[in-house]
Amino acid sequence: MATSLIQCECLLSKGMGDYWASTTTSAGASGGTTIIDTALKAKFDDWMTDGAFDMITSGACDEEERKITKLDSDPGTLTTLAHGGQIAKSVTYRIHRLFSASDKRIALVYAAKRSFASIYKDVRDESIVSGNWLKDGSFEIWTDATDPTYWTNSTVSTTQTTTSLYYQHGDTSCKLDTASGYIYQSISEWDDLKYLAGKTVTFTLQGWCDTATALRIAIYDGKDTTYSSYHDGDSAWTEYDDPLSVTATISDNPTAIEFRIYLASASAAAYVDDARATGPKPPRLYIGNLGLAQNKPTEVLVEMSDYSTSQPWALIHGIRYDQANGYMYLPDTVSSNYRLRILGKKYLDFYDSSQDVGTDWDDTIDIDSPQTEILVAGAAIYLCSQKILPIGTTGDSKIWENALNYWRGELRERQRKFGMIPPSVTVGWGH
Amino acid sequence: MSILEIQEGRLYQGTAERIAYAIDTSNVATSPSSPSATAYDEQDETDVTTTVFPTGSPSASGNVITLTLLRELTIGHTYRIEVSFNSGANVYEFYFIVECV
Repeated sequence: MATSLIQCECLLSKGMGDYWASTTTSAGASGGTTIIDTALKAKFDDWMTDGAFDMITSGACDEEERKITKLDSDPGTLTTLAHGGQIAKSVTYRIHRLFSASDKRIALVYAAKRSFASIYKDVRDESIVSGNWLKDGSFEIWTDATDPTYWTNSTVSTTQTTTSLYYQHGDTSCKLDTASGYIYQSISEWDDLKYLAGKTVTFTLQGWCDTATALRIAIYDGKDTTYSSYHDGDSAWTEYDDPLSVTATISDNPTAIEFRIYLASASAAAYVDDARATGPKPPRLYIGNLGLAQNKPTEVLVEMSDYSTSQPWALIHGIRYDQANGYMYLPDTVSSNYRLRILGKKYLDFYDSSQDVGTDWDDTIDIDSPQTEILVAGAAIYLCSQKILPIGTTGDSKIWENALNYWRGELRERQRKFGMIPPSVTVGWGH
Repeated sequence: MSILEIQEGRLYQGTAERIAYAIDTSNVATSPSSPSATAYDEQDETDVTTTVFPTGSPSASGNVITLTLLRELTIGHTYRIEVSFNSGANVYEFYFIVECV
């Protein structure tokens, strides 16, 4: 379920009566100042408004936009400000008479968030574990493809891995290879770990490794390093109920608190996921990376047994949220070491193939028809609003005010017809 | 927090949102029946039930009361939703607060 920005722009243009697409029938001037298309013979010369733009949609000048200065309907020649090169025969192009393609792009990007909560993206995350002291133990948060945000590497190489079978939890795992060394999370990465001084903590990890005596984990308190046993090196994941595990009591006055994942062989490759540090109840869990609207889920459930596939999971009541900073405080009644299912709604935006927010024409938004109709109405309202700002003449403003009122009505109607059905919110009464 | 208020405390809802709230009563009473809901705008304490719950009526199943879609909220206003229901011979009441953001 995804619609590209250019598809949304076409819908917006069609909705506003500003859609013209055609193909050149002859090569234009060598300087790139004309577009020749016999289909334009069907138009009057004054069909072209003062604020008209073209947009080339194929060939060497793909995605270029230029102001149109004149239409000669006979022989069918558009004169424009110069393109980057000659517009050849059989090149596809569009004409935007009311707003440029770039204006429409800005409007659609603006409307994507603005249309919340009639349209939104569902969030369903199971990467967070109750009672886990580690921030991002599931290796879901990356600064870039080789840099996990809340883990630091010491000589070993790290790579974000999203290939199925090479991650166990959430959507990604961390690959370790190239050099021996270790990655770790310490107080520098996550300050809450300081509360573990003097506490007994169990550190576990799901791991895959192709070499024996290469992958293991450890707890370091500045003085002592306590290691787990090694992964078998059998090119298989550890069993759900038998992860790499180490338990240590951290010094009352530690000079460091680090949870380390070692790769002891430069020729080995390992994938690691679902790191957990459990012991006393942690103060809070980080959910700020999920992109939830106002950092608040609609529901949080907990699995009934470790790595359970049985349904339903149990609904948790009485959760408190630090919405400004993206933290969640579970009630003490929730046991540690169980996966949480976090459900909620996220603001919409356009994303590229790397899942980064973008504004390229092929970037996509996670809605489909007919929900795109709501987005289009929101974008049309934005464009009409721009036209009634004091820059316009009085007569023009009146026309656009009427258009604005029309689109406001359309938006209400489309929200009523096509608005996404929100998930129910289950709350609890009784303490 | 009042003992009559839900555990989650204040809830937040957008102007365009329509949300069906479901309330688990099992900590206090089981098998709720005959639920009814009244909504007040806390700005002037007016009864706005017909505006924000324009269609249908609450239902009960198991230990969960499900309200109809709460909608048409005004940004900046805070709403108190009071819900009463029967359980055996007893009549219970609780409320929750929804702020429109």
